[in-house]
Amino acid sequence: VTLVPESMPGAPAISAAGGPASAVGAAAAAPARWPWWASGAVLFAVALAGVLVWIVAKNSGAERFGAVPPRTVNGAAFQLTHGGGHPSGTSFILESAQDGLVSLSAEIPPLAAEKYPRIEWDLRSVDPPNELAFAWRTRENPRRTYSKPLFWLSGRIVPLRLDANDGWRGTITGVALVARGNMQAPLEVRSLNLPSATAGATLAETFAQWGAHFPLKGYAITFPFDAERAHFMPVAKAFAIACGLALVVYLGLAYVRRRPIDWRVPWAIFAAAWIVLDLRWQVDLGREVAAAAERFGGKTSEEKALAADDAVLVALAQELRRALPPPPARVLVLSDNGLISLRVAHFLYPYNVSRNRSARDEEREKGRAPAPNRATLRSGDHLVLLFYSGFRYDADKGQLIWPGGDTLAAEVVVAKPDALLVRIK
Amino acid sequence: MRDAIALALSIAVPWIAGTLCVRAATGGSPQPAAIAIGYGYLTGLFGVTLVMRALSLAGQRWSVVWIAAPIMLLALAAWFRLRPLGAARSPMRALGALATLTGAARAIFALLVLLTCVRLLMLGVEVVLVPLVPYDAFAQWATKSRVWYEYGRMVPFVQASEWGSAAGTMYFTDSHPEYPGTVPLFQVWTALCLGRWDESLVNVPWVAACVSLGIAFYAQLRRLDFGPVKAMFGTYALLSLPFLTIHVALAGIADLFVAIAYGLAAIAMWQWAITRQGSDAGLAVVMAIVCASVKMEGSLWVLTLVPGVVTALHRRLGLAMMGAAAAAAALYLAFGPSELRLLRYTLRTRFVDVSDLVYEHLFVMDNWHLLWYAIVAVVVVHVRTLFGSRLAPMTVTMLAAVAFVGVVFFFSSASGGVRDESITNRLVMHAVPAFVFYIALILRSSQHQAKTAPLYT
Repeated sequence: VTLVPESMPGAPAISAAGGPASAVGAAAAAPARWPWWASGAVLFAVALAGVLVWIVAKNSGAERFGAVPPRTVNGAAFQLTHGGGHPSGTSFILESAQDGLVSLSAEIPPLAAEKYPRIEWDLRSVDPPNELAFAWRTRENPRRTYSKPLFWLSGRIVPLRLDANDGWRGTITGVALVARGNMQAPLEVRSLNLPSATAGATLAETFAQWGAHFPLKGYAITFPFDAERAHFMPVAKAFAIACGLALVVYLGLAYVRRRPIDWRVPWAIFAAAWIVLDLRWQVDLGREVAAAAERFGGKTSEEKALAADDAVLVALAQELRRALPPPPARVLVLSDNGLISLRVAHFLYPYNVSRNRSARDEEREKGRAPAPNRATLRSGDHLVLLFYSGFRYDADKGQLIWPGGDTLAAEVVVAKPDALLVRIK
Repeated sequence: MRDAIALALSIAVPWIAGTLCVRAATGGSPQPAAIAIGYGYLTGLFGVTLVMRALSLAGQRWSVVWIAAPIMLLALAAWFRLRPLGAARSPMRALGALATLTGAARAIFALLVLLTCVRLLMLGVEVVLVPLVPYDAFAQWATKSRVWYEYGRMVPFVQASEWGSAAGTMYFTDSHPEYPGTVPLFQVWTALCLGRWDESLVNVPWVAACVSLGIAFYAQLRRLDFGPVKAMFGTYALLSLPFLTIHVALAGIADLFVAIAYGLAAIAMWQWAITRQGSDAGLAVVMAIVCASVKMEGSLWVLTLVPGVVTALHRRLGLAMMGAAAAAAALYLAFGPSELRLLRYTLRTRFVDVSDLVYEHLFVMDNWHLLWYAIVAVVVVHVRTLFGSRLAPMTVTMLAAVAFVGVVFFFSSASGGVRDESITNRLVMHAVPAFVFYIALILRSSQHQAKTAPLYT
């Protein structure tokens, strides 16, 4: 089947549509078996199939066409070897480090490393430890432990792809997870997954990655497709390669067969790639809208805020507002965590809110706001202290105490375990 | 229902007034009236902010009536000016060619319109449902609009360091008190129409602006003699770009308005370079003013239009100017001070290599679909014609834009923003509508587009 169109049944339509004068080519060309647009679509589909074959070949394991069942080790199957923690349901909760280290390991039924080149950890933490590593042991070299660092991406651990060069060879008999640094928050170890790496499973995984939902969270305003970094090949790149391949094939065939080029075909290839790529994005956007409708539909502005991810901060801000005099009272929101203070301040406007941080402060260090200058605080000013270590409030003396010893009389308006609202006397 | 009417009013008043004013100003020109509709929304909305600024200066508390009255008077004046011209009665003239399409072309056109409308509808639903999400929105944009709405005027925002010692309680602060007030005023206007503050609904201008971009883009492509299907494909392609649409869906920050205003200014300026019609120059100037007023970087973007204007007036002079600028940049890199403070940026002579991140965002991830591949391919294939008399002003404009992005990314303190990926796509987005139109201009002037030629000759 020749893929070079020889007649142009769509030419009148395109000419009428203001298209190029491709009728010139149409008139010059011999009768075609396929219309130009079909040639473009088929060429693109064939090229995309080629790219998929390449992706599968590169990412599948040694046994591409056999039956290789996926393996899963639940968190609860691990034994704690260092630090503190406990099993919880099917998970294991790591709570504290010992000498800056926490680890857990499990003996597993022996498996051939080359059949399972992909390792996926399912971990959850609101404040993950700085350093995480996956470690394993082989039957062939039982006295040696191999390891590979793990990285977080969009709230998940980036799947590892291991080969013999990493020490992932022979028969794997034991696996472990190691975390270094202070545990700011518990780390839930849900499972270790070793997915099947047959050709079929790899193809299915590729489509699953391309069809994955990209939630429109705050970071999406700058890098919405961060999770694509963990894909075998991001969909846009795959489509671009397929597009390029299809163009090369089309132009090559035309050159070899000494046929005129119908420039509508390259454009059809490009348009097909774009529209298919965009349909995926459109569907994803639709899923986002459906999720938003379910979560926020029919709610007032305040109810929406209470249904959002940081509802706890909204509720806190609402409680503070009820305790404050009418706007525009001056309110200083101080926290060691810049994001918490920013969100609470946002919900307090139109009060005259300050976080005592300039944009430069935020660029330089994203942590604690400096303690306010004592001289600038006035009677009637309110201070919200949220996990703040810049100065302290002595409830017995009714004083704010600066690290240098300065004091200022203040009274408590709202006292909560995690927040304090005081008013300068 | 009441909210829907209020939102419709908040969009319709500036849009109708802006459209009539643009049409009245360009009434004598043969421009399609759809251009006035496309450019009308931002023009009208910007006019609303000017009225709000004037009322604030005069000490008059804002109300819908106080703001809408002068806008409607202007619209009425424009209407009376248009009546004798008869121009107002053919607002959709640009769409007239649809009737001449064959069945297949009409089906493609309808499919593209459908895809675009479905997307815009989804974006609209997302915007009215979701509370404020972007960090910058609640750090420095919605802070101002929330306070200004409450007090009915533009109360001052000062730096955090000055806030403590400021006299009285009416000096506010946020992360960037120096940022311009135009975008917060868009939100305040919407809140005034609603009669209350709603942090989701105040963002409808983002959706309306996106629709207006689509209309203006389509109309400008049609002026280039692109047929309805091709013009619609270009419009669909622009409005399908994921990163651009995300900035509508997660509304609340100013970058989308910079992109739209800069894009519409560049397009109008290029049309002026082709037609020399004063109306195009006028539209370019208005959009350039809007661009400069919405964000600090807007002024720098406007400066990138200047080489294009010079080149349009005198091609050799423009090209020489670009060459001189390039030589000056090279000399600065070789002999200049290691750091130079310019506006909010610190320029550095040391090259910061962030090219891998830029490549990843433009070519690997789906932020821009296949746009940058297409741009590279089209530019490479047509490189010999880019500095010819037809394309030189456009090429010089885009070169200046690329140079601006390049300096910010590779030779400034903002390269940190590329490393942490906070500005990579956002800065690029500002130039994207202009880039898409530039590609259309290249294709229009291309021999390849117009002829079927054997490869082996």
